[in-house]
Amino acid sequence: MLLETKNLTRYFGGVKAVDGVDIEVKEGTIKGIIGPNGAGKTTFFHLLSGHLPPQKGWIKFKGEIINHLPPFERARKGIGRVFQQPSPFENLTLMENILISLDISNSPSLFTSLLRLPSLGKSEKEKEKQAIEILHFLNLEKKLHHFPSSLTHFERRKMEIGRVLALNPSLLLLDEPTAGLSYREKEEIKEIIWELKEKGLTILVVEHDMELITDICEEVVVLNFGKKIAEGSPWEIKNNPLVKEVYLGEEYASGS
Amino acid sequence: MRKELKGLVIFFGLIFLFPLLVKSPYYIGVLVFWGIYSIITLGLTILMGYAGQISLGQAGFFAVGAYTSGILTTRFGLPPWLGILAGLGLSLLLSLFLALPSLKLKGHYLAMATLGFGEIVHVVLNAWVGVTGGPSGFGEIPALSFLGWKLDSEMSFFYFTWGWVFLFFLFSLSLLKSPYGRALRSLHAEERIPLSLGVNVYFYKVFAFLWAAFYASFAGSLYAHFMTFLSPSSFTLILSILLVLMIVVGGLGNLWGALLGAGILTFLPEILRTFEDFEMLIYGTFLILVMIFLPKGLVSLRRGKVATGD
Ligand SMILES: Nc1ncnc2c1ncn2[C@@H]1O[C@H](COP(=O)(O)OP(=O)(O)OP(=O)(O)O)[C@@H](O)[C@H]1O
Ligand SMILES: [Mg+2]
Repeated sequence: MLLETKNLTRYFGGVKAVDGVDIEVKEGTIKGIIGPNGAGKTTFFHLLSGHLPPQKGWIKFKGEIINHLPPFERARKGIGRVFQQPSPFENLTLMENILISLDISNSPSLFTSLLRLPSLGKSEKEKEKQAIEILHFLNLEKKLHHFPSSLTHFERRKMEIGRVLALNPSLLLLDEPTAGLSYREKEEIKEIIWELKEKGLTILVVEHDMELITDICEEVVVLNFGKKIAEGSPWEIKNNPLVKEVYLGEEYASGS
Repeated sequence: MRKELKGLVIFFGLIFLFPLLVKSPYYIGVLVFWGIYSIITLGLTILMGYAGQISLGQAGFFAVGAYTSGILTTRFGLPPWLGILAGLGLSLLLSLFLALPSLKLKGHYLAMATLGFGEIVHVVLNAWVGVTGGPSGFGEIPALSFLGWKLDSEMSFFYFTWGWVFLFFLFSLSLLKSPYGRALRSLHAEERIPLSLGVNVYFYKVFAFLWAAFYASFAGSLYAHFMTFLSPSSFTLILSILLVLMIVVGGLGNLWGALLGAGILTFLPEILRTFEDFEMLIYGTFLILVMIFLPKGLVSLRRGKVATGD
């Protein structure tokens, strides 16, 4: 197992945002997480990435308990997270946004940097090459020197995926990667996810778009009020009466 | 980098020509102050303009640099360069003590903590009479010499100071143009974002504090050997605020802004002196007008020409 959680729990006051969730994610697979608004999907990601501490339970990544690790160390260990809300570095160009994560594994010493010794230029060149490769993969190479504010929503989304890919992660956490995108843009994201899977990445994806989930996921976990209420193949989940009830209940509530 | 170097050569060329054209020791003295303040602001802008932190206690590090080298050279007869190094060491240590608890603080709380630091230093300067000379201070600080050249005239000290401004500018520029600079600039965003990308946000915040303290302390030592006299009244909260104003007026997050802001707010009081009663009124109006019409500082007047790291 690449990732394993046991009894993972997080309360906010009286709200059980994540309530005793166990999941297992096998290397090289794509797992979907679905559930109504407020079901605890994002909170679950916060716990995995280390942005929130759990009150109970543990998280095992690559066979090692990582509960105590701060987010930046989890990122360095290979957990790459893309947030639900847009999170670009507004004061950095597209290229620099990607370089930030490439710096983590390839950064000359402070001494070298301040004196601008030749090895600084060499490592910068290497990283720029890698960044361009990533941006090319995402179809963004034309906007290298643009600031995020001059990119479209779709381009910013892709940039954030690129930034995380630059960490060279083994696990990718995507929180609603296609929210607010057009049909064609969704298709492109789907392509990207497929290609990443082919490259051997393991992906955990939160989505409301059931069609996307069916297309890309081997397995789906359903959360409701912080609890895991079902798990199985997309087909099984679609025909699970409990899941139907949760979703129908929601449709009913929002339709009235 | 190339583009900036061209600007640097032109700017410092003009500065270095200044004493040859204007021979008045008074104006050369004012330019020395500009240089000393610039060293502080070139460090402080890394902390405030890039790393997005705040310090209202920078006068404290300026004082530590000034008093450490002043006291060590005057009372203990140590060579000035040792005094300067001791000041830098002490400032780095103190800024580490200040930065570590400040990691948990943001905005107003961070401002208050750093302000508290500046005030504590001020109190110590006043109260530790046996060492600092108390409120009346102490004098007869020996002049610096550099390569056998005694820096006891305005002119010689001018070149020495601005030589250092040039070097400190280059250091800050190199920092910003390196992976360290990128990481510092990423701190501007909400903390969760750089953290999720492996950036050790805590390290960089402390680093920025140390960097700013180092610059301020060095400037303080220069100040001590230029003035040859120190008293606590030169190291008040007003100075800390003035330093922040310099950066803001010049343009936050821009090295040229730090240089320009320090210059304007050093010269303005000198120019306004002729207006006597209206001095403060004009000074205040100027600040307000800059903030209203140029919220990004004076450098925004010539954007594009002065892009330094952003
Ligand atoms: N920082 C917080 N403080 C208090 N309550 C919170 C906090 N974050 C989330 N919650 C609550 O926890 C529950 C789960 O929220 P979460 O954002 O994880 O849901 P979600 O499944 O991601 O929803 P959505 O589909 O709308 O993104 C909600 O009831 C939410 O109000
Ligand atoms: Mg969510």
